[in-house]
Amino acid sequence: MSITTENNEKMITLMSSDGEEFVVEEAVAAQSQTIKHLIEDGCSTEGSIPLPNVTGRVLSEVIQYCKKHSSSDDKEEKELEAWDAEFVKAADDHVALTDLMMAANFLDIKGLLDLVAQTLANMITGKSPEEVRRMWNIKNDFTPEEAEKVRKENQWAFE
Amino acid sequence: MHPPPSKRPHLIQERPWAAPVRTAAAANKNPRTATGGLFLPQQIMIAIMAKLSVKALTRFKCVSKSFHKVITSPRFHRVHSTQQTQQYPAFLFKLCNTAFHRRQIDPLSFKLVSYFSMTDMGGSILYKFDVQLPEPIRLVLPCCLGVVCFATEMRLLLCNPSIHQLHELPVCPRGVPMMACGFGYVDTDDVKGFKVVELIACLGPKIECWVYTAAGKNQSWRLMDQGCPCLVQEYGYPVFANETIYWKIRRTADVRPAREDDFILGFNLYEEKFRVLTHPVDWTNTTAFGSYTHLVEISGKLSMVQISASWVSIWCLIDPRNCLWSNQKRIAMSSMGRVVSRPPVVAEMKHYGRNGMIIFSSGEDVVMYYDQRQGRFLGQLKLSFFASEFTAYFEGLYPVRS
Repeated sequence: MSITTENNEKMITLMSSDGEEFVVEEAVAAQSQTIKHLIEDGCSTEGSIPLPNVTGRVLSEVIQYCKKHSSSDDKEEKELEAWDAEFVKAADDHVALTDLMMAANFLDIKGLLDLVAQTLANMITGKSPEEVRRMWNIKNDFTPEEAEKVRKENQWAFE
Repeated sequence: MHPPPSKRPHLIQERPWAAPVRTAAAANKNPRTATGGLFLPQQIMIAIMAKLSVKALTRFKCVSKSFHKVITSPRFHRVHSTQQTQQYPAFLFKLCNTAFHRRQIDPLSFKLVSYFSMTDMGGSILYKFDVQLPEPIRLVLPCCLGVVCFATEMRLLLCNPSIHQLHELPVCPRGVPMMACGFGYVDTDDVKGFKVVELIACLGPKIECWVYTAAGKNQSWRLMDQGCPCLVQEYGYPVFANETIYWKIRRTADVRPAREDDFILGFNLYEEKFRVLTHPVDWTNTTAFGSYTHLVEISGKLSMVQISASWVSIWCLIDPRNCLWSNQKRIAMSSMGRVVSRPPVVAEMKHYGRNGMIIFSSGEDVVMYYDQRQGRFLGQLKLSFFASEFTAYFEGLYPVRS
């Protein structure tokens, strides 16, 4: 579906995995390399673009980011940085951030991917392996002997 | 949260550029990382981990087998290094031995103790360590992927301070003294590791070239068929760029060649071949007091810097094969006058970050930052110690011994 607004901005429709539809300007959506290529291949003319890996809640956040970053010039670098900081703060926990990061990865939006990766890295940098496991439900698959050995080899990083 | 792969629309599956989708799906099938609840695909995990410090990563090797595997893989080492060089560097200083230090000679081993400090750009000390050797460290070769090389009169050592590794290389069979040395990283199908080069003067007169590859099973010194192509009296500080170690050279007076402008010696670590480069056309050799020229790596390119009383001039090697240099860029010394409390003395220019930052050292205890885009000095850092050697340092996970 391709409609045009009064000021001649081409609009496209994105559909999230849970069936929610978002109508956005093409320039905004095209910040996602994935969507940009789909548009170039003419997929946007056949109806809405389905994004099976992204829920409506996450997609609305992604669109918020893309809108901000398509309307700002490089000149407003400082302001954009402050906005980015607020944006990731609003996502508040690692679960929401991981969802956002997976969406950014799927949609191929480099700026967003970098921003969220840095936020998550800052979040875990001082944490213990046990805390990291708990955050993402990662199973400790070392045998007790292996765990002991790896721990010993890397002891200095715990001090 | 993730539909099973079969539900993915063919629309996306058919697109070759949609690689992230495929990789995420491949990770999806890995039952080890998915244990219910929140799930972390490997690609996402790598993107986060590339932003972490070496210390945090060393700790996270204990998280799980897949974490361990990723963090110890050479492929991840490369991803991590690339990420690190996008950020601001740290500085590694070799401190001047002063009475302030408890001991300069270890009483038990009678070895000399060299003290090192790593700081961030604000001067906060991140890490300190010392190295004990029978003779003093003469040179600290610039950082390559988190690894530095120490040279004494007798031996060479590779050191990765971020992973606390120090590796002494065996003494070259030709013995000492070496005239010059250099090192860099080689990444080919056959060899992945650091190569160290020593140039040694022999009777003849001839200068032999020996190469040590610190990777694989057979780690030993090899004599190159091709020796140094010209007789050199003096080698400058080595710089590694374009897969090549470069030295600024001064030839012996009696064999001063027809081509006066053959000025830089390069040894390509991949081809293991020498090349002599000419200096930029508009560079002039002045013998004015306090004026001299040295080489530096700038964003992966070889650059030549001439420092005089009133100017710093910079040239960048654009095309190594044809010796094509960029036009000279000039920074007026007067522009730093207000910033520096003492008379503006620039001893060395070290690094020029991707963000347009140039770092100057005034020799002992002052470091200055110059922003190219704004064309002005941003500030200076007064160190709390005196340093005799200094290199911009980016963390890396590369081991120095296998």
